[in-house]
Amino acid sequence: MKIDEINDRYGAELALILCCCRAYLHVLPVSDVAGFIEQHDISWDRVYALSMQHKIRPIVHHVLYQVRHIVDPSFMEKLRTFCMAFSIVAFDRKRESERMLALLRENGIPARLYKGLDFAETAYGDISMREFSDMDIIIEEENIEKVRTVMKSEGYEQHLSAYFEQYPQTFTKTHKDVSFRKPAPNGRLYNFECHFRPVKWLMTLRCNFRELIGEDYLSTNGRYSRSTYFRLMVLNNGASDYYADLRSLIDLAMVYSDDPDVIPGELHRFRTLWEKLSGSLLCCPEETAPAGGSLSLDRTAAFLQHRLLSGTGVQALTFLQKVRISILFADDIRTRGMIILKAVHFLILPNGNDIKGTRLPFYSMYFFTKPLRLAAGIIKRSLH
Amino acid sequence: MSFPVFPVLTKDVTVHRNEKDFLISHIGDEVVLMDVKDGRYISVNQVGSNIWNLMERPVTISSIITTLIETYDIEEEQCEHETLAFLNKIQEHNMLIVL
Repeated sequence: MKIDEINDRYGAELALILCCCRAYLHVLPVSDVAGFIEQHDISWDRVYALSMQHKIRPIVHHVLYQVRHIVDPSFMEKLRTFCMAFSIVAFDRKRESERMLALLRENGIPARLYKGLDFAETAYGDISMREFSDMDIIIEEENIEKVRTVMKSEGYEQHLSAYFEQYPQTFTKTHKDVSFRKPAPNGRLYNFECHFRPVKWLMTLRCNFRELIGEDYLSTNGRYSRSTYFRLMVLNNGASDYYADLRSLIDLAMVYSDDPDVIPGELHRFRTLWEKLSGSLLCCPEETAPAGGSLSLDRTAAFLQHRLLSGTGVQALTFLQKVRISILFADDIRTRGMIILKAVHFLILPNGNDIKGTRLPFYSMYFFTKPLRLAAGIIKRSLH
Repeated sequence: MSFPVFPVLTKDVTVHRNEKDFLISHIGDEVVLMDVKDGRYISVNQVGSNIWNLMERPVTISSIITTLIETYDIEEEQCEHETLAFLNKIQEHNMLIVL
């Protein structure tokens, strides 16, 4: 998609953001970014807001710093201040991650970092260049109880602990991670997500870490390779989150592998989806997947592209939006049926909010209280 | 109580930056570091970052000064004084290897 077209349809600020992304990926010279700025009236507040929504402030700073003489100084200072503060947060989280990882291993729990910090180091070469919030660790399902003990001994509180303690089997069946948090010294929160499964329960895709990464997925020797991360991030950013922001597209561009064998069969369509979106918006890969072949894929790509560009769309997808996109993306009636069934099952299945709110003797009883809770919520919202 | 003794820095000394125990981030021309051992943050300004970048490989202090004089409009005497002050400072933070 041409920058001029983006400028005409979605505004100069979004076009500038995409120029920055392309320059960061070395598919557009920085001089072209300068040329664009000189020719357009830019609202720098909007550029900042868009960079924040798309979680790419460090990338935008990195590129615009090279042409800072023509950029609004107060905007550059605001970006710089954020990047400085974020670096300190990132360093602090890296240190805490390493400390907790060592502690888990000392207690005989195989564990390793992935996504977030670890991915930023592998893909971007600088942990401060990729905005992130959580610290992600892979563990084995059979070690959840041990992990809880270690985390609690360090002052961490488990999210949905009442649910887990009452119904551990249901919890592990319907969740992919156990998460813990505690206040950090800088007034923020340390938030760990300990993943025992890579896919969400709602997804029709079925795979585990062993299949995705290999038998040695918890090995402490070395980092995951770029091609392993390409596979993991197609799953995480694509199959799980439907490429919700520009950072999710850049992530994959940073570890792109054109080897078709890198991606297992079921994930191929999500890789093609990324190629269509990233090829169109970031010109990376340069050879975009051709239109045609799969109407559902083309429609999903068009829907997500509009969502990414329309500005208001860059928010975490709601449950119903995800279901809608999943149905749009499915390429046969059987898969669509499975998605609808899963969605209905998910809707009626009691969750942490039901269990936290009311203590009942049997899990099955929550199937009756959930509709009451949802109805009460709807009434409350309508009254407001 | 004993204080660490650091080698005296002069123009003919060869130095190299010590990255081993630090997390490093580049923000524009500035460098932010954290000592992983004690969690201390160190922010290095633009000129300091320039010196830091010049020490990517072992280099003599005199060649650092020469490069800085070529880059910035500064007197040799002042440049030498400020460069040595900066290098002494980062040496105290264990950020410098003297060869």
